[in-house]
Amino acid sequence: MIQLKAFQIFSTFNKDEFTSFGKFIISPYFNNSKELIKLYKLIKPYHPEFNDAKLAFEKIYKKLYPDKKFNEGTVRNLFSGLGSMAEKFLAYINYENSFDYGYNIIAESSARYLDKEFQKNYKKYFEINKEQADPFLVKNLNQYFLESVMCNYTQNRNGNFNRDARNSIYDALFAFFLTQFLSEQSCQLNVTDWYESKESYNIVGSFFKFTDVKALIEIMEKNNSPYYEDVKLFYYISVTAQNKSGSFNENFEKAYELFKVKVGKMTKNAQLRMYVLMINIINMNIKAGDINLSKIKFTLGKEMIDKGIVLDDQGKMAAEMFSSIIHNAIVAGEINWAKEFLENKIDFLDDETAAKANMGNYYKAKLLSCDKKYLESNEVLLNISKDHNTFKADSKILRLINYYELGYIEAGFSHAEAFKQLLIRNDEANIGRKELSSNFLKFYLSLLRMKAGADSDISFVKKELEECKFVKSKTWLIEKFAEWTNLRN
Amino acid sequence: MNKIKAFQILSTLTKDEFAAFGKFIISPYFNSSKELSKFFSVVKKYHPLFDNPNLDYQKIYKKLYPGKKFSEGTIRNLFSGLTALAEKYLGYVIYEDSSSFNYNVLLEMNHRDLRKPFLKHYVKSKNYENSIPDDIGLKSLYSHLLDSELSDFNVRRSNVNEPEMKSAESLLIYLLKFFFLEKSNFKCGKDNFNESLEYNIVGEFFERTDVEGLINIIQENNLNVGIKLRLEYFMDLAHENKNNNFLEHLHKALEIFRSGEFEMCDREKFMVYASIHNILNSNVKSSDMELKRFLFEFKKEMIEKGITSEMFGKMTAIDFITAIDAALNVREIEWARNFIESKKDSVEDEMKSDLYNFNMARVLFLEKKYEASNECLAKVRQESIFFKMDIKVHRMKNFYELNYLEAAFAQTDAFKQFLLRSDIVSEKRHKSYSNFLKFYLLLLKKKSGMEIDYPAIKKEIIECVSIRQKGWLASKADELK
Repeated sequence: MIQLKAFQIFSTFNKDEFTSFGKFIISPYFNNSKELIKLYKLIKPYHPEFNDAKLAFEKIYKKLYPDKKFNEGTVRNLFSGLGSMAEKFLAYINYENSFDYGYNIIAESSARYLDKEFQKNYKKYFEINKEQADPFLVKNLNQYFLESVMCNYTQNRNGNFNRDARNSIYDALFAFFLTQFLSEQSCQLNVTDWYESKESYNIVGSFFKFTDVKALIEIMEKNNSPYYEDVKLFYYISVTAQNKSGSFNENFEKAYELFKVKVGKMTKNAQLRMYVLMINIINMNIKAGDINLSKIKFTLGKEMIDKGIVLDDQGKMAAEMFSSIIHNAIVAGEINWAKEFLENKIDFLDDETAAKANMGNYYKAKLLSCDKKYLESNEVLLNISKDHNTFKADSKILRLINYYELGYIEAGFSHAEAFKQLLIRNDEANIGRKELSSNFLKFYLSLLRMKAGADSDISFVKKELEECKFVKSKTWLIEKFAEWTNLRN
Repeated sequence: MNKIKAFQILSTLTKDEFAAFGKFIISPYFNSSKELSKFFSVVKKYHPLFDNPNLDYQKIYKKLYPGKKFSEGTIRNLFSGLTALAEKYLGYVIYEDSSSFNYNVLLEMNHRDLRKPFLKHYVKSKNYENSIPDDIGLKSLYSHLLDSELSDFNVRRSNVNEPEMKSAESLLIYLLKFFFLEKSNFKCGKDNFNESLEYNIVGEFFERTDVEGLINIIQENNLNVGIKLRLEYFMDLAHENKNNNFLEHLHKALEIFRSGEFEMCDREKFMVYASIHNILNSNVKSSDMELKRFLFEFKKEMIEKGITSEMFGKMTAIDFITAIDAALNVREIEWARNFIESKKDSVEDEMKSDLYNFNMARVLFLEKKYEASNECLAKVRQESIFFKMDIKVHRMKNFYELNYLEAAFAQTDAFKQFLLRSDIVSEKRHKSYSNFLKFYLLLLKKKSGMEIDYPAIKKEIIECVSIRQKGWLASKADELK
């Protein structure tokens, strides 16, 4: 496709949208340029690919100005104008189905003293917003706008300064604010804890430090605030994510129960964010070998697949999402489901994603390793591009595991040494990620030495491994140490 | 005006908006009916009144379909189509100039995975938000929404929920600004109308939040916004009269406001002036002439600088009345008269005449032109909630000054009946009018020759907390002595 903004945007339009753009560009309300209309008509047959030779600038110019000498600037200007129109159209494409549209009608009706229109539309959009039932996104913010406009309307018409009505405006705004901050706090903990990084400026943390949020939520409950139920879910998720009391399982159970009740009523986008949030919270607190949480993580991933929420508007799945879901299935021991997933869903990855082939090969190798087909697994690993950073470390670790299982001690040592050098040299990798791999290497080498005949006391290393928070393939390492302990006993 | 709904909507459009609607209706994106376009071209010349006899159904039909037999149904259908389009247009009239327009472009770009255009448009939208005046903090809210979208864009690509401090900060600023504003409004309601709330989320929030601590953190990172929030904070302390340090906190707020250390758009300036005015009003005592003078000078400064609600269209009734109140409290009668004359056309047409006559009556009263004052009061519409009670009070004062005792007694009785029947006023307001009535009646009785216990009444008036026209009643009591 020719790299022009207009084509980039047009190529995302489906047939109906592109037809609608045709009406848009010939509408005097939006466009007065006849030349733009002509240009649009010329390129129209080439939607959505726009890769025909007839789209060369010279050819287009000739069609537009048959008798004139070619001027590239003119064509570029026209395409720039068409790009701007395409961009503008994006704001209109779903506008009439949006809350903004309804709200603008309501606000304008109120400002123009069109009372009947105001009443009718207020009722209509109030119900639509209520039905939307999506507290994660903007439901409560929309509610806040609606309550505000109604309050202004009432005040302007009869001077009625109803405090309860005003309070419900701020109740809605506060609910929106709190859900945003609580979820932000939950996400933040994931990142900062995982990588042990420090936030220099953390306004979310400061807010929770300076505000007794628990008391405020209790007050909302006591006063039957209509927003309490929305806030409650995010509050328990946040409490679980913070895990300050140490009762993670208990809090998680509460949060998970609320999540199961609420998630079905959310929009696709909100559901996706909620599922990712729940999975991340488990990731932060799961201990190696915790089958119960591993199963929940797998269930969450499976539900996302079954509901189709992992697919974006273009029907594609993010590479990281794919990786996370299949990884969680393997950890939960759902090998057959993982195999099926790999076979059937790999095509949902973007073809242009460099990760697609590498990911396919890595998980194929991983599943072969799970089936104890270590040699085949190593062969598949050879197909992974060495330039691909995402699987660089993971494929090396899998290879090391395969060597260990195969009893290839020499190969195991030499690969471990090469991996060590890579980790020392590589300064691009995030410190947290680097630590995961170097810790793996440390424990792996202990195992390998034992396999090579060293007779050292493993109880100390085993304890260290159990306490280590950041280590790759921890479950496998624990399993192997347990095997050695059993052997020695 | 014409009762047809389409005309009702179209008559609210300005000339420019109506011209844009002309393009709207012939745009295939919105309308594919050529008949409707034709119909519009017939009726458009009668904008904005649409009261021409040519707008008769039969005449319109004849213009549209010459030679055809009249069908009322056809015309009704055309009017119905025009109404639907006019209503739809209300959703479009300001859309392209709004923050939500840019935000919706960004949303679509994100959903469509248009990576480069998304990032470019994000920068463009943020610049736009920075360039427009702040509409009471809405800028912060849209900044938050834009940053959230960027966060979502990142999450969808990396599966890492990166902390977005900018987005969170914008949202917190928005919340704080609005909560400060509401807290101040609530205080005014509480002071003036004895309003209370069983559940007050704003009050609860301030009760359970170390706001100063939060502002310190914000100011360390974002000086301009931090100073503005600090200004709000001191205004709040002054309004609450925290630790009886009203003046100290007010001066701290004024110091920040006048320091010029930060940029403020007109609306923000107006909000600060209005808030400080409310704070002064809440704390001024009827005997404190110094503070009353300060209040007037402050209001005068606001008006001379053009910082009034007039900047955003029409001046509000409250803005108009409070300026006159401030002037009359310090006997700046001439200033008040000039203000009424010069600003009478700045208020909503609906209230223009009432506001003019009511306030002119007050000026005339102070000029001792009681007959003229009553004449002005007679022109104010009685149904207006803003004036209903005060018209009666001022008329009674005029009767008293004119020595029209019979008329005064009759008016008193009528007002008493009105208060007994009325359930539209708050308890506190009701009490203040009842108290006025009680003392007015006593003074009237004395004036008509009856004996009253003067020292006890004077003492009661002075000590009464909730009472209308306290100063006037006290001065009349002194006269009768």
